[in-house]
Amino acid sequence: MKRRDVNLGRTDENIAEQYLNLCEGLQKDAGQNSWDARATKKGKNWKLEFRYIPNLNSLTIEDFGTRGMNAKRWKEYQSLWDTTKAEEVTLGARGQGKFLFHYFATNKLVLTESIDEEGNYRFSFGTSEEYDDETKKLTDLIPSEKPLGHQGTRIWIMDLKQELKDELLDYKAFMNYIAATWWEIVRNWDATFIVNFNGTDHKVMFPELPVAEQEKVFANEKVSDLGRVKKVVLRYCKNEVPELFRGIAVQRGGMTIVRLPVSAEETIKNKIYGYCTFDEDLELELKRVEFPNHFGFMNKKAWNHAKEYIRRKSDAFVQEISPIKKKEITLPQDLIERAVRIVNDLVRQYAPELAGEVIRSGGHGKTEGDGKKREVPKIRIDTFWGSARKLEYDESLITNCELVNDTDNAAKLQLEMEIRHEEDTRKFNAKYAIDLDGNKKERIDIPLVDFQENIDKPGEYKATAILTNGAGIEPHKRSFTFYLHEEPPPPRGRVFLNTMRFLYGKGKPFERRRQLPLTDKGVLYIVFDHADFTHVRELAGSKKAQKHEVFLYAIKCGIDEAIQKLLEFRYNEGQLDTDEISVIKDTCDAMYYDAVLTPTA
Amino acid sequence: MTKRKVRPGILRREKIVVNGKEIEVDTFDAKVVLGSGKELESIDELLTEEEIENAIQIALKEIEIIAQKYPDREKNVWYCYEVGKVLQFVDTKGFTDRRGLIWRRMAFDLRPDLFNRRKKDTEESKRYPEFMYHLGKQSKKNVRRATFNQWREILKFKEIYEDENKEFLEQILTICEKEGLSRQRIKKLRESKYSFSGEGHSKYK
Repeated sequence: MKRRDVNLGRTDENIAEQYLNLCEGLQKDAGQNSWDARATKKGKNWKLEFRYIPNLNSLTIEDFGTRGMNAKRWKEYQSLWDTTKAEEVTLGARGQGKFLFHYFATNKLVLTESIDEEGNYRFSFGTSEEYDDETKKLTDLIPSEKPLGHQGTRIWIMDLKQELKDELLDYKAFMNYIAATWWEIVRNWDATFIVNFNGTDHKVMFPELPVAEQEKVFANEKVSDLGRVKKVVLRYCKNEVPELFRGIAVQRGGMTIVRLPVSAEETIKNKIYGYCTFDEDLELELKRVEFPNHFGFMNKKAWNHAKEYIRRKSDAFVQEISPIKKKEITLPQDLIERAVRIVNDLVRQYAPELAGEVIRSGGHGKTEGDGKKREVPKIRIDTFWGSARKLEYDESLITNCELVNDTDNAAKLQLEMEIRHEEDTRKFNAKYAIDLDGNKKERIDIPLVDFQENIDKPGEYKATAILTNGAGIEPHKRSFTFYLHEEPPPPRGRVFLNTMRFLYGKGKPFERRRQLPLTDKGVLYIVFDHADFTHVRELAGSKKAQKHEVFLYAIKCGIDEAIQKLLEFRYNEGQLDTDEISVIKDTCDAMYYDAVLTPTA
Repeated sequence: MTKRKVRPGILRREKIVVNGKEIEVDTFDAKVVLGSGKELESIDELLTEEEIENAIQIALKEIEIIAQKYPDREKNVWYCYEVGKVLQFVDTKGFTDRRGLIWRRMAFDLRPDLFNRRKKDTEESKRYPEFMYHLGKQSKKNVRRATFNQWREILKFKEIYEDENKEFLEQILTICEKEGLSRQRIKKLRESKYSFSGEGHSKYK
């Protein structure tokens, strides 16, 4: 075996690409490293200071009340991905975040000082590629500064890059990032964060959030066989919650990893915040599937179960606080369903690294006998689809199922759902008795189905749902197919939108349009140099963010086209009135919501 | 379960039908096919194609300035040499493997007038910029040693690109200088089995 060549010189750039917001990432990684190193469990006298030194154009990150680095920790700190922390209850896992510090320095130069419990002083200087902790002292490099004089660590990011400096030195924004990430340890352990970017020490305080009108707390509940949720707190406020704090904060070890948006109307959603904490077992499970940048989780069993748990609690909470019941949206015709599925397919099925999770969609979701025009039953399975068309072991299938009763009378219904492997072995079976009021739509909470190696066979699986009401009416049946540890075949049949292409519009009759009408072959041409599209690309900081934005923009164009077609369709049917326009607008917003908000969760 | 990679492409001029009318537009080769599982790779490719297009536009502006210095550009070895220098951007920006597509875009779609004027077919249009690109790699001193026609043939010798020490090029340039070989003779020489085949190229007489 030969050792692979590694270009460490670009490590910091590669790592920086993983962050949508570098400044937010910087405080998170610094805080995480330092909180992990706290000298006492409750962080007594723990303090982290971010200080800008104008004459050196440098940023120092200095911690107090920590253990400092002994020989072992010093060695680990100087290496990349050489850590066993993923199996420990600390916050860090891959030892890569500190390489972000190098990215902020013009010449990638970072100096580090540390004093451990025995009073040993250590100093190093280096880039992402190499370091030296033997030949020089701090004063050799910065004669005007004294070496670190207390147990702890101080990091010097030398000569900040001009293009990152302005954003970084916006101390209010920086403090907000800290507050949004570390509010739990600030509140519980009185952890101190100091930001001094303009010569004055600013202490990060526990954020002042609007007064809660309603609160719901769930405690100590089991999540599958993975562990327990320690606490879920949901609050509905009188006034709008600041943007950084909206949604449900998913906490691990005192740090907010991600905020899950609440599924509700804008006016309600903006007034809800909350958080969720886990016991040690579930925290460890979640840590294993956490993104290395600490900004989300992978589409794995632990996260899927935890997220589904939070979603159910927040859905129930929203239902409770909604002043008016959500307007029932009549089953949109096939066109919308297909377009929504496309959006969700794109975001979750084919780009899980963007979404960091799988929520719904996938599968064909066709009613039996598709292809022929048939009447839509008044009582029916409205939605039935799976989270992904392809699953791997250790992932879960999330089934989205909604029933509709379009009659004026309540109905007693039975829903049976099963999942079978292509060789006819049954994987899952469940029966539900449902009382569904007239003119109502209801979501059915189907449990997550996990797939494990050596237990579940790879290959094609079919999920089927049958709805009966025991009154002799023909049962309504829907199904979808998905593939376990096997590449699905290419989609069959005609779809609404097949291909997106891009062209330059300058000087052409359509230069002010975002996209051209969908062709007969399902090709959507998107105008690449449209001012809005150009703006979207320019705003994206990194290439990864740019890719993300292009992807979302293309999806939005697809949605716009679907809505346009739907309006035409309704108009031709003579059904287009102000109510219908409003319903279509709501649908459009819901599609945007799925396409835009879900990936950031 | 390896996925096929997205095919490298470029912007190209093509005709599409918009509201029943045929319009010539510049479209990207990259296309996002929903459900292909390669959506993100396709966007990567799209952004690369944009990067290439921007580089092409910059290069064309530079070439326009060069063209102003050479009112008579036909068969002008120095014009080709200077343009060839600009065309080195394909190497510096890491687009070497797509240079055929880039030449097509520059010499067929955008500015055939800067590359031997006549609009030829797509394949043929690539040859002139390719020649310029290789000429641009030569030293000024060497360019001086042969005529335009001679260079057109010289740069077709495969051996030139395999010989790191440039001994082969040196030999053929020496012969060109001494004997003033015509383009036809160089071509024959290249096709001849007696052409340079090692041992100090001594078989050529």
